Amino acid sequence: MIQVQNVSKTMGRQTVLKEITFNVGKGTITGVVGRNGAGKTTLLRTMVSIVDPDQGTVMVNHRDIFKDPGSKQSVIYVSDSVEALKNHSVSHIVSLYTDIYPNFDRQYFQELMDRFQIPTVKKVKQYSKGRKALFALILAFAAKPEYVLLDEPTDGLDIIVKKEMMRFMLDEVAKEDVSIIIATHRLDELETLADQILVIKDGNITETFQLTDLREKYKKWQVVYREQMPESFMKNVYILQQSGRVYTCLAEGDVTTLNAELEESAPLLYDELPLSLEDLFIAKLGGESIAE
Amino acid sequence: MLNKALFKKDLRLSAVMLLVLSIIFVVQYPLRTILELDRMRGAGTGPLDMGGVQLQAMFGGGAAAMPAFIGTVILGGMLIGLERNTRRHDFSLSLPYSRQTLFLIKATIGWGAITILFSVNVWLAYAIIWSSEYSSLLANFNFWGMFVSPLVAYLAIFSFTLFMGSISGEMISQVVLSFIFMIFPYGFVVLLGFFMTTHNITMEFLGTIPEDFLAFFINLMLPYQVMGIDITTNQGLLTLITLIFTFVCLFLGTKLYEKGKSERNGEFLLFSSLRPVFFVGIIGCFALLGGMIFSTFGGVQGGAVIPYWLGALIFGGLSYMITKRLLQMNITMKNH
Repeated sequence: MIQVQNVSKTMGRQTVLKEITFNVGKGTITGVVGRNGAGKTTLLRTMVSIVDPDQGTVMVNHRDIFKDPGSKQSVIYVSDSVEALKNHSVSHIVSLYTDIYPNFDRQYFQELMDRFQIPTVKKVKQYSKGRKALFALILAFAAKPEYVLLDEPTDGLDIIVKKEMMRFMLDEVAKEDVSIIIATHRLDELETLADQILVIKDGNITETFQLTDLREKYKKWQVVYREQMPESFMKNVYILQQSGRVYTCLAEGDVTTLNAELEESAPLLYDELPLSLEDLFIAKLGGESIAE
Repeated sequence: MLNKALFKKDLRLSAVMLLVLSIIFVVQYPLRTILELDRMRGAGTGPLDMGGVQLQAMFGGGAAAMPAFIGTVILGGMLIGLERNTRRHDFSLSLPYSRQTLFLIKATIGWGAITILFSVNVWLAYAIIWSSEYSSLLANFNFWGMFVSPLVAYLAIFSFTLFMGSISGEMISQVVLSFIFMIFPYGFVVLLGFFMTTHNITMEFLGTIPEDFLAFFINLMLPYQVMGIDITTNQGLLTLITLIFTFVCLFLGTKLYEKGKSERNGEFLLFSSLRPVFFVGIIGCFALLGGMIFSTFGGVQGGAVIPYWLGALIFGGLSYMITKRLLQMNITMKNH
């Protein structure tokens, strides 16, 4: 388990992280979402001791990473690792990773390289951006870590590569019991991946959601009324969008009770819509500032 | 403590500079020796014709040692400063090793490379002379002055550069600060001396300082130790002081490397508490330098005061503007 405990960090005059506390269990995918500059990257960098916190600590399997750097053996941070090694050959990087991470599985690495049809090159900088991103993921997962931290892993990638990467990550979590922590501002990608979502705003974790709970606790409807939505029902829902007498709304609470209340409000017609994370952020957190 | 993976990573990072340094030492010792022997043969000089002068020409530092001096500083710069300029430093910090280990690996690579390259080339040059008709020249070979002292000096230069790397945020500032501070004590005394002379300030006690001490003080400057071998100096004491200085640099460098904040990478200095010191120091020294240069327009003693202060104000003012920007800069290479 990774335990982030009361981590605070000030850079210059700006407080980037404020008493952040959360846990990440094994075999889970955690999404850290927030706007650019919210503190996502600093949080991930603190979790591998690139950044020293002013207070608080990070424990990996009950070992403090700042006092015992060896505890990071089971954590891999995938951000610019490939950029850092861009002038190295694939074979040199593999040899480097084998020395750093004793569990590195060369055979599995090669299998993944073949599966994604990534050729071995003399310098990694010869890869396209998408290939570099995939290569970084392959390296990370071939090292058989317990935790993989990904910072904006799909930024700037085309849709095909993105899908490939997401499928790959899901496979890894299912097969290897690895935990993934993804910092991103792309909510749509997390919907299909994450178990847990941490919303970070101005250095604070403002909300923590379990995605499975969300689907049981929230309903999204498109409702049409003869005139307008009754006040009594309106106070129970978040209006996501209104166009004349057509309302797109989100309701939170017990689903059966919510359905009964909707029917009592006598709509002309209504339809349940698929719930997206973006809807929740718009409703719960004032929208664009988070979900942008 | 000394990790194979980090060795591989840092050796790769510094491979080009290690190759350059190898070539420099080959040119400085074996090649220079061969050329000097050829020159002596051509001139018909006998082995005992000029005492130890020829040997001094082969093993002495002089201007020939300048590239190795610069190369050693750049090697230190590539191992720490260049890493800070790029994202390699973040990658290193994310690995499961302590910062102390990261720093000591860099020190070990530099120490190992310098010791091996210097020793091999010095003894190769020695062997070339020994196998020639001029072998009797080696009777004048000074083990401390021609081998131990410069070797320790190169190690000290490298260690000092690493120490500067632990307080500076990127390669250029690390290299520039290393050069400046290696001659700073001597340079500052010269600048101060000009200031006092121009203003007719005499300090009687200066005349009482023994000349031997002043010579020893100059010999302590690391560039002088590799470029101007003075075999009359107490080599044992000089080497001991340099060795102690080297270990102090490594110790302080390790501690500061552990404390340096990665978010300041790319900045001139890693520690904001040092900024006022450097700000005042840089401007003060440039003002003294400007005064020294402009005082040459003065003429008779006393008449140089106005040009001195004009120069001090111009250089001080310019350095004020440059230093202000310098301390705010951030040079980090982005790889988009």
